[in-house]
Amino acid sequence: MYRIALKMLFFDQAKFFGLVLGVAFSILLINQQMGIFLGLLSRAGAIIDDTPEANIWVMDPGVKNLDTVFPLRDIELGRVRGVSGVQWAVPYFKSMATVRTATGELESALLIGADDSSLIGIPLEFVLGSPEDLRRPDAVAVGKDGFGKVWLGEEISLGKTVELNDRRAYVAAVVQDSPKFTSSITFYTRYTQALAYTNNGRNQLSFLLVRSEPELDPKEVAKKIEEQTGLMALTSAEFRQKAVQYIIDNTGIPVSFGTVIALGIVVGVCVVGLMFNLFVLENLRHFAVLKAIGIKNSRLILMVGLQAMVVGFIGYGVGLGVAASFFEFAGRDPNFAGFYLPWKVAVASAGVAAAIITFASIVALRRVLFIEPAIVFRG
Amino acid sequence: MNGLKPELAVCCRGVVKEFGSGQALTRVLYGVDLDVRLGEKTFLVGQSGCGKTTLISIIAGLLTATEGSLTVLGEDLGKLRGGHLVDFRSRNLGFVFQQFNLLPSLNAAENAAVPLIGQGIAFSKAVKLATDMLEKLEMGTHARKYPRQLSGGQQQRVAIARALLHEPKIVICDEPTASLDAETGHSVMTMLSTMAAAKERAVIIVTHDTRIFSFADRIAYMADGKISQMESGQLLIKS
Repeated sequence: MYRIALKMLFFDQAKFFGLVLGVAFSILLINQQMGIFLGLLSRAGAIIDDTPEANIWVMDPGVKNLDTVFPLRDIELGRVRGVSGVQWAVPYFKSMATVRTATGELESALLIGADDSSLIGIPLEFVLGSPEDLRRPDAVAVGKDGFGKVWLGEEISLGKTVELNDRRAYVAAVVQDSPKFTSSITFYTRYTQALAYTNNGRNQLSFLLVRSEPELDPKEVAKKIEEQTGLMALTSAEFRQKAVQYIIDNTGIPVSFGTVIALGIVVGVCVVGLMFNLFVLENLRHFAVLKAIGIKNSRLILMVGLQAMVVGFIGYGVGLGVAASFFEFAGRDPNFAGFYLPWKVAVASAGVAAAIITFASIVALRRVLFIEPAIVFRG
Repeated sequence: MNGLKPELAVCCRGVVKEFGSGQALTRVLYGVDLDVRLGEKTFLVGQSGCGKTTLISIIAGLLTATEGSLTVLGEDLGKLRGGHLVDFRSRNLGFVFQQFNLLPSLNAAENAAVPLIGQGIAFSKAVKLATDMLEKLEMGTHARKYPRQLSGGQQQRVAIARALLHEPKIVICDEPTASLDAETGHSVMTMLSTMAAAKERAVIIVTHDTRIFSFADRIAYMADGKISQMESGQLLIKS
């Protein structure tokens, strides 16, 4: 009977494709929007991800996110280094800068100043050049995606010069960094060099990067730093979560994406529910014939269930495939860099597909189960 | 066998059927008494609305009688419920409908095979048996065609194959020639008579079509929800 169920399903091709597209559209929206949403959130903690050497970030107690910082006094570095359990602590500068692109246009760029001696704070993966190249005068490293923004259409290369806050900077390295939330162009240089680009003097410490002693719990060390310095010290994971939470609490992004995702589910439920209902309605007489011939309700339930499952399975596959293709191809564009399709979202959307087809089949099954087989004798 | 004579396929006594309730209550059958014998073709005739379709629906176990007793092949149908009733129908009854009621997504052989597939016989085996049956009905060359590719007469032959393939004891036909022209109708009835008529099988045919009365062994006239008259088909033809 299952073969008959499938033949019934595939026979009306327009309705079958409509059903599949209904599920696929819903799954595509859920996965694509969730992927972009999570990608955006992950950008909130991008510089933390790019600095895996440090496991504690120290900052002014009033800091809520990575983009609003209040400079620390230079002496805080020594105080933090003096806390027991701190293996090392280095300064970290972060500011926005104005860069003039190759076409003469101005762009906003993120400027990171890493510890002069250790260069901790600069992404570990160098696409071109090496950390030693950054020790030269006016040397900066630029993120790979940012390079494409400043020098549109050009192959990445070294030796280019650029105006950074109206001062000359020399591209000595290109690094692979994580896409940021506020700017797609990031320049990395030494701490002292970064201060020079911003024309600021002392007390420009944005953060202190700290590594706790290996045998100690970073949370305990962070607590000690707070107690002894009065500054805020967070583990990398805590700081990342704080930055993400700030975006969730203070922007309309979750509501905006949530609305689209909810619409995707609603449209999926409505379209698939209605079309499946219509499909069953058009086949109602045939189901009644099967009932009259002697097919039990339990078999009819399995038949309708199989039809719904096939629609759900194919629709889910198509929707997920298109969403995955989107991230595969769109991910090549620097604007979409870092966006991906998390497997947990794909699994969760399978649950949504299952819910959609379960709803649709339950609605449709009511008709099948309650159809009077005696209607087969009516003209 | 509940005292039913062995040659009786159907025995209705005082069958009443009402639809609705309260002020909307409608009585369609007013105490029908009818015997249908094995090995005979019993025609059920009467004006539209006299209750023919309701009666065969009750005999087929598709509707339940409000009052009265109904014994089909020795089983008190009133006592059969749910899955048992469906099993009984699946094993013992075959149907031929006025509108053919073939599944448009299945070809002729697959349509004819549906009752066997429903009984759990493998799809390919059932289709093979159905194809053999269609050949007997001179439809072998059309076995792979879909209903939309067949004429009315051809579709009705497929329906006959579907009704007979699982060798039911009772075949119920509802206006089998109503959608066919005279020649095709006659041909279908000849086919039905030849294939369905057997000593151990009863055929009940509901019809308006007086042209096919010659195929009847007995004719039950219905009027106002009752059997008003019972005649031998041959006597009718002679008269």
